[in-house]
Amino acid sequence: MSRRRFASCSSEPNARHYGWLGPLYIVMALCTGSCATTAPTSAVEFSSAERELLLTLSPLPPPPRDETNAVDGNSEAIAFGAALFFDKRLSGNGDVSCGTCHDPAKAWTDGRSLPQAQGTGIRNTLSIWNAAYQRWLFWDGRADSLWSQALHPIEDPLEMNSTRLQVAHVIASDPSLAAQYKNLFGEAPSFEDSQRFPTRGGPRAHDVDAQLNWWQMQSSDREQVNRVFVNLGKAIAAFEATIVTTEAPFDRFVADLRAGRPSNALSASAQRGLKLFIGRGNCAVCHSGPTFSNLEFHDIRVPALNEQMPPDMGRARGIAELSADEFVSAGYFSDQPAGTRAQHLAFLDAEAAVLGHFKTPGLRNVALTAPYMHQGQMATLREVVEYYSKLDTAVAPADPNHIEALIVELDLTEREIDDLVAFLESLSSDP
Amino acid sequence: MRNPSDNWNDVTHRALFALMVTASLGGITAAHADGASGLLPSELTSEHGGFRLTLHSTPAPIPVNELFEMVVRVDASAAADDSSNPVWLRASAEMPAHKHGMNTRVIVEQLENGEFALKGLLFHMRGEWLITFDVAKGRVHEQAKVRVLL
Repeated sequence: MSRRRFASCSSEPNARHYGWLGPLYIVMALCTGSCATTAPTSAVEFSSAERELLLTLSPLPPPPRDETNAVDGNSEAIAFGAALFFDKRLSGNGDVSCGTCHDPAKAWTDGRSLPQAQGTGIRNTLSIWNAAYQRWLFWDGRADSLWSQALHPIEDPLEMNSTRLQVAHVIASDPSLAAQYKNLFGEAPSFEDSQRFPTRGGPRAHDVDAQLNWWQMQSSDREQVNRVFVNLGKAIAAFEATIVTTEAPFDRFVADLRAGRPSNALSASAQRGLKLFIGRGNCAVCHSGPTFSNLEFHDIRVPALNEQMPPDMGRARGIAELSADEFVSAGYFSDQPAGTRAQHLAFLDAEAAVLGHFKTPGLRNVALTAPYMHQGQMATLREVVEYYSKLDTAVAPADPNHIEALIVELDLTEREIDDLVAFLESLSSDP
Repeated sequence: MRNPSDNWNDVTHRALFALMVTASLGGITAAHADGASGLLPSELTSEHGGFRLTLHSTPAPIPVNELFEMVVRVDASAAADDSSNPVWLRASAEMPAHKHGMNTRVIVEQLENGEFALKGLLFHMRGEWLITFDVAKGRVHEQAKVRVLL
């Protein structure tokens, strides 16, 4: 009696003995899930479903063009915007620029829990890394474009404490800035007539005199000032859109995975951390996509930095501010008031249950942007992971109508915490 | 003459065939269960059978974290209101496991052909979403629900 060899996961069946069934066995063996589930990676095996998810996290594509900003991607606008970004004359007392809190030497943030500029801010300074990919800007999403966001700090009394009239005068009085402005946007008004164009003024100004100056202007003059103000924001945004993270060890790991080759781009610890991140940790549910952010808002029940911090309505307040903002994507100053950004604004639910919700920050270069959370409550990545592990300091959900039930104690071991931190560190761009 | 070992081999063949079919189907089934579809069923019936909805999303399958639209045709012939009252439709969506809904509002427009265009839908997270349609004609009001896995 001849012995038959039967199909297994590691060898093809002997078709010669099985007649017409032979080829069928081969096909079926190849289709058997367990044979095709895993491919050799390195220290950690990932299932086909996990690999499918990993491939959505990398690579980071080029940032989308902002259709609401006609000078986005313009090299001259980028240079002009860079000059403005670091120009302290855009602040009320000439001591602060955008670069004061968004310091390139500190990963485009300031390394502080709360920013210290003209005053002490109430929320942690978000890094500018990958800001161009964001759908909403600020922790509460109160700006819907990068250029609109750039205008807020200029007039914020705790940040740069200036006014749009003051900024317009700076441009008009500096030949170099005026020339760059003219090259991009056409000649700016001279603003020499101090009766028509007071030194300080704006609707968001902190002091009443500056507000009065603004509202006593002719509406056509206000529009001229607004146009210059917006154009400055668009130039700054063009510069900020170039601040994009580059390849990280995680990206090389995914590239190896995609190519079906074993990878040592990540340490075994980081690979285990990655598996937790996309699996039991549920981190990738919100920290999704190549920027590791779903661009939306959640309440992860983090306690306030201290008892002195005022209540923070988060996204609920952000939506209210958006509805009153003239510098939105669908507004008069947008270069595409009917585009995708405007659509997101049109469909925004003003009644959404998002009280106390804050934007999911991206995680690329996260190891460089401590401290963490919306008030910089957590000093280290380890502290962040430990928070999710135990939730022992978590507060009650701010909005009882919207409970993120996904936030549960993970009860991680010390090794698992180390692994998650190692993975997060692997998201740092190569130096 | 047939060798007794041939009988044994026939049985073995059949057993192996059955085993391979089972394993293959398990693999295929597992792939569908593990893989996210984002696909809507083409038809849906309301809770008391009064309304039949025909659904279509654009794009299809439903993308994660991108605005999408839906076109819904409502067949109200079985509703307990055979008057000429118009059909009314509203939709909402939530993630039951997460206990939250969308951050966008659904805008419903009735098209010239009587279908309903639903705009502003955005599923900002992977997982299971439950879409609830409220359909009404006159005093008849029913709900139809469908689960979508992203």
